[in-house]
Amino acid sequence: MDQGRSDSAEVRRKSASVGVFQGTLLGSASADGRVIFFSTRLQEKHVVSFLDTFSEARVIIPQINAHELGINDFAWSPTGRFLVTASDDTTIKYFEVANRSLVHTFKGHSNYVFCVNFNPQGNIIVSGSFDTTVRLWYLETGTSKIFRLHPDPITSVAFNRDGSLVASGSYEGCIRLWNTDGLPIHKKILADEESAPVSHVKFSPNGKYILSSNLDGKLKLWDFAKGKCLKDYSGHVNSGYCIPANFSISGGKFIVSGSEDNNIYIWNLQTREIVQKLEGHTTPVMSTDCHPRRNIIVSAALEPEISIMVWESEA
Amino acid sequence: MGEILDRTYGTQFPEELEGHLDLQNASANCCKFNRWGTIVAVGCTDGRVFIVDFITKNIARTFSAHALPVSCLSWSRNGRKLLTGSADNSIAVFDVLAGTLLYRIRFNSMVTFAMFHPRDDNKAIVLQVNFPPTVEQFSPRLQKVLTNDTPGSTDEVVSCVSYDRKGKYIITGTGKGKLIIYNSDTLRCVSWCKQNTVQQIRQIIVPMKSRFIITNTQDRVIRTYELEDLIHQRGGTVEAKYKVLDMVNKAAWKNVCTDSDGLYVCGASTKAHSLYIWESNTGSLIKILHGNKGEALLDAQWHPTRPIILSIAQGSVSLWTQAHVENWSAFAPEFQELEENEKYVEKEGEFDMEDEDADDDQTNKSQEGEDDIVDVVGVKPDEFLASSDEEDHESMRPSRNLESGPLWYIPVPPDVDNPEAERKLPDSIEDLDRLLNPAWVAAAKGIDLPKNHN
Repeated sequence: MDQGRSDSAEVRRKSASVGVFQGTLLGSASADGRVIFFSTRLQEKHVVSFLDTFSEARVIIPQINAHELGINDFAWSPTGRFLVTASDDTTIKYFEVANRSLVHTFKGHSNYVFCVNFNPQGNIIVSGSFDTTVRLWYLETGTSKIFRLHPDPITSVAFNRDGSLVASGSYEGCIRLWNTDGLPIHKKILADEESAPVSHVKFSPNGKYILSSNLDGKLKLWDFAKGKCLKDYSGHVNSGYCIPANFSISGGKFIVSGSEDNNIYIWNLQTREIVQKLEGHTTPVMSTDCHPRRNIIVSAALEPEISIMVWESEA
Repeated sequence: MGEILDRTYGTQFPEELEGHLDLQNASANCCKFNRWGTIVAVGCTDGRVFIVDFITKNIARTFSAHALPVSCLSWSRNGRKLLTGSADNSIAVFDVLAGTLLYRIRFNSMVTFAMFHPRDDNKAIVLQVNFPPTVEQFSPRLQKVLTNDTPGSTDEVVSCVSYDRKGKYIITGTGKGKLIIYNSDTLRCVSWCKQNTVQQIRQIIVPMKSRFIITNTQDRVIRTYELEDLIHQRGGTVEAKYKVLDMVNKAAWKNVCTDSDGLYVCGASTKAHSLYIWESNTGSLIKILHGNKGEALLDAQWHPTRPIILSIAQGSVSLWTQAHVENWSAFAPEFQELEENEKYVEKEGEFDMEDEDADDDQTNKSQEGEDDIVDVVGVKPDEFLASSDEEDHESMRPSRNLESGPLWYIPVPPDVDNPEAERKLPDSIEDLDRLLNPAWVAAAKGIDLPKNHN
């Protein structure tokens, strides 16, 4: 089962809404500590346009009341059978989706857990926290390893395509790359001179590039082997919230990101031009995700709107 | 991908002891990485074989493979099969993912070496003590003996064998320093030659991607040859292209390994737990790694893509990696780390309020390359694993669900108390409905909101 994933979180206000697409299942996690699932019965075709708004009444699987405090991020396991949530209550919870059962609670972070991700093998979780540490959690043994790589809160963690590398982005403006096995830690850093806080990092589908979101309103595409920024994308508004960006590869090659001006921006990956602005939300768009095969984007906006919108393109 | 970074930064050889693999008190005897270095198989003196996930260092599978010590291990190219040879006169082939025994073949004598054909996991070459090497075909079962017809070959024992990199040739080394090369299809002798010593060749090493082969000989010299040169020999004496040896201690080598490019050669000493690393083309000794005193080395293996060596001594597997130096400037990227104080000489115009010399083209230059096409989807065969002329990289492309292609990791099902939930999440919503509580699904459908189109 293919899947896309995305997630979001807000830095200043510590509340977040999250939309994650999993082929046929859409999950969302929010500041009220719940994870809600939606089915994506999408039939109609529209020119990239507003398609559907999900509300709780269309929930197909009951929700998971995961945490007492807000959920900052969540991730599907590669098979779609499990999900993990990262919460302000400093824990990470590991759920089985089909019967909504809690498999394990990972405790160890001493501050908000801000971001979480699975490795492609599905046996390691990586998490980043406001306590400035990154942890790897081994699902087979339940043990964890701590990595102190950044001086500031971690905003984003991601595995590459084969799970051999982890990228971590942090508030001080650096992206660090290191080996999953924890053997000599790479001091490979991607950062510009100005180095605005990094709010999100994501590997390209082939694992050769990293897309980073910075709180100076820029997205950057890095060739991490060369340590070089290849392209940057701007035009949207992003200075306060950690808004993730996505690769859209089901049709053409695009970059998709939410924005604090309530729109969703789509850039041509190669030319860096804004191709389209999707207007519809009434509050900052905190999270977007792209369907792995179809030209569908889901987006989630902040309170008080609290809705998830689905957008589909004909092309 | 981590390999890319290793290759660009830092030294390419291990420098210090990182730790040991936990094998639950088993006594290790030999080990082997799979093609990607993600899994390592460890053979033990009690006949067990552990499959260790090299990332998590957890034991993923245990095979009770043999009754006596495991002498050799070999992975098939796609990593799905593991061949083991043992002193109990047998070889065995395991399906690594399923954890099942596929074949077991018994021989007349102790098996000292067994190796899969690099491109065909239905074939393997096996060497037993005091017998000529044989090529085994597993299904249908077939055995062919490699005969030595070279002049003066009476009572000359083959002491080591190996396939070349692509399995086109079989290279054998004899107890009298002779190298004989066979065509691996016809098993006819292609060429033969002598080393410049009559001592026994203990081991033939074929680096993962280079045109060289390396021999470990009883006379304590490690010789590197170009395979192409050997193929055209007709019984003459060949000089090694490169030679390395331990001048000081005159150590003999229990085992020799190289990195995948063959740039470095590592010799595992028979006398102590010492690993010698040379740069192979210059022959200069660049590092000696010392383990605990009084331990005897049994095996040493270089990770296929990274500067990591596993050595086995006294039953435990040691892990040698690069030294990790704390880099404080990493925490403040705008600062630079200096070895010592130096006077800063400002660049022209660096502190000017307005830079009158500013190059107008500067901005344009920095934009250069920004319009290059970036491929974020395509996956090329890993350059560091394969040489440019690999033909099967399509079929060797890793798939995430492991149903086809290579076995690049072993999935471990997480412990879930509820066995009923073993069912996978279905692909279609209709199936999902069935999986869920029917009463609840009905309730959810009853309040299905009308679609809201703008």
